[in-house]
Amino acid sequence: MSGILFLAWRHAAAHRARTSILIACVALALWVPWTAGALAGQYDRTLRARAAQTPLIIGAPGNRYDLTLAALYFRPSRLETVPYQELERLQEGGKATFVPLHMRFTARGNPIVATSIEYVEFRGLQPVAGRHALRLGEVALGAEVAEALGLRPGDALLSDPTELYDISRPPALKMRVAGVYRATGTPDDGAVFCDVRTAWVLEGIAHGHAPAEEIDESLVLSRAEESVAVSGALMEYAEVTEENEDTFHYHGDTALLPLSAVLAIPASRKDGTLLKSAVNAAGDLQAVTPTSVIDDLLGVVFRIKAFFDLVGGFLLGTTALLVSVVFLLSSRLRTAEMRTLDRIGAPRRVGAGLIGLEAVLVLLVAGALAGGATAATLRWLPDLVSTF
Amino acid sequence: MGTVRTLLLSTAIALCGCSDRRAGSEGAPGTTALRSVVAVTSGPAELLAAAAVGPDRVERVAPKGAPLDRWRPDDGALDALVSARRVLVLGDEAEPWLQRAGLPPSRTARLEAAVPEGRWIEVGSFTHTHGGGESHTHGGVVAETWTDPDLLRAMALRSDEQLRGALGGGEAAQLPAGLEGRIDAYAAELKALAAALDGRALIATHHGMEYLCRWAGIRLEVTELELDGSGAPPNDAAVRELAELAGLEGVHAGVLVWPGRLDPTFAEMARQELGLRSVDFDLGGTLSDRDTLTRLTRSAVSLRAAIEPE
Repeated sequence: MSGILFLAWRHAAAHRARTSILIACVALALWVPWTAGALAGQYDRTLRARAAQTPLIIGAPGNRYDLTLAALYFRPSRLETVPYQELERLQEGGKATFVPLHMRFTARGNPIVATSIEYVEFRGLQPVAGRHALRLGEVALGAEVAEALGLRPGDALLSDPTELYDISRPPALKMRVAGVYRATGTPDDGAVFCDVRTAWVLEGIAHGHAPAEEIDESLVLSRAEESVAVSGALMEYAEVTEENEDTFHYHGDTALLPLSAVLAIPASRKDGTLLKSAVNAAGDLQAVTPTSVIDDLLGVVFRIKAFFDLVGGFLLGTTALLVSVVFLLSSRLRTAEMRTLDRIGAPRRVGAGLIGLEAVLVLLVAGALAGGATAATLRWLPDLVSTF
Repeated sequence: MGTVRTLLLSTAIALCGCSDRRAGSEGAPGTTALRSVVAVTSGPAELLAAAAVGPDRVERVAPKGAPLDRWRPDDGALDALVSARRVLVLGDEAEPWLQRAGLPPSRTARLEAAVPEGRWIEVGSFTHTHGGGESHTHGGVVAETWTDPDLLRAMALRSDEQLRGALGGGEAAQLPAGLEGRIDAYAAELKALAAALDGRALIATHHGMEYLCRWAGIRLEVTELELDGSGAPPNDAAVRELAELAGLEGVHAGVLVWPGRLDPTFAEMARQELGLRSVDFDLGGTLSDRDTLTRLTRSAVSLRAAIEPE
């Protein structure tokens, strides 16, 4: 170590408290804008990437932000539903592949995404254990859900009851875990996937019970040759098993079964444009392009970020001034030390170099600390995008 | 020189337009890993898929003879269904397992969609409610729509439209001539059967013949004996009804038609005590060694042969 560097180091070490406070102030002043910038960049990239991978979202008319965020990030919202027949009608047009989505329920706080195998294929979800959930009452778990709940294929997962004290609502459904998906680093990791028919069981639109002809007479309110009215006290099956699977059936018109949204994957850009304009012109549904919705949303977010960048700039400037004052005062206090250096024949610039080198050391350590803290924040802060 | 430049520019613009594919059919979900086959689980679907894309590209997923209303796919069968480029099924009425299995909607073609709303035949529907909830109906719709030649033609056109493009067989235009001719032959056989009956009714043990009888103008009397082959006795009310029908001389053709499983014990009893000759009638719903149209046509021929001595 050269003499001047050794002297700077020894001085900094001899004044531990002062040096530590300086390092902490500079590190903090660097950490805030660095972290905000990195988080905003990550947020921007992830949001845009998810949106860019999703060509079109079709749903009931209403708030397009709610529709987009629900379809992309499974964010809870009270979307108006789309009848299943609309998906079939769209499919007949042949302009795209249409993927049903139903997201009104949760299982131990995790969103249940009821969809079809096309969603799994579209998002590239690969089972790391077990298989896709293709049967009624089966679920496949995102990697984070499986890890957090400690579930494996063959285990059971209960849906969250929607109305705990309302006995007319369907009870929680005990669902079998069919598989676990490999982590993808997307909101899919935090979701529970099932076939859309399972969601209709959760809705209470489909259910299973003993055949009406065999129901205990005490539960029969009236019986005619071709109809029977059964008491609401009739217990419906709360689990789909191999034995009772065949008794599950739908209420009402199956064409009207509800969906939250429909993902559309057009065959070409032209088909996408035609489809979007046709859907929006008809008026009974709305088709949105997720990238434009996210751009609008991020436009607002980044206007606010610009303000915070300005605040960060002021913070850095103020800190720099304060650090300069500290070193200036420090140089006054070291007048005797500088005189000694002068007397033993050290060049005049050594004094300035000594203070400058100490300042550089403080900045370097503070920068390293701020960099480490930024990396740690990005690593340990809950993923804002997946919990959007 | 100017013309050549214009031509080159036009070609480049046209090529750019053609290549404007963000997620072409090759890029649609899952298509890269899909097998170029049509998966089928019923006889009619197999017949129509083979007519549309050729028998080599049709894959049976259900075992031979598996009853449509009771079969359900195991894990292997489900994997085969979701990995096929197209799945051709009859629909929820004929194949109830479809209500409980997650087939890909974009790759599943339902033949029942070709049946106009007013053409379904309802029998003995059973309605029930739970408490004050909405009432709903179980059963009650006859599922064997493919036995009606007109509906079979409509289904054939639909399957042709849905399958041919998807499996690279060119644009759908009209029914293959061979299939059209065979449906015509089946229809002619039904007309001949109606003529042989000469206004007399057919007595059947199952509603499965409703569509073909309606098409041919044949009166059908159904007594659901509910014999499932387990050795359990038949439904008493149905047996009484059958005895009453059998006693009406000249009203029926003297045969008891079994569109489902023929019960030899009951058939012998019906012959001895009621004077009804039992005739098997294969509706062609299940997968078998022979295709649906062959089985339907042969059944019609056999039935005509059985009633003609009268």
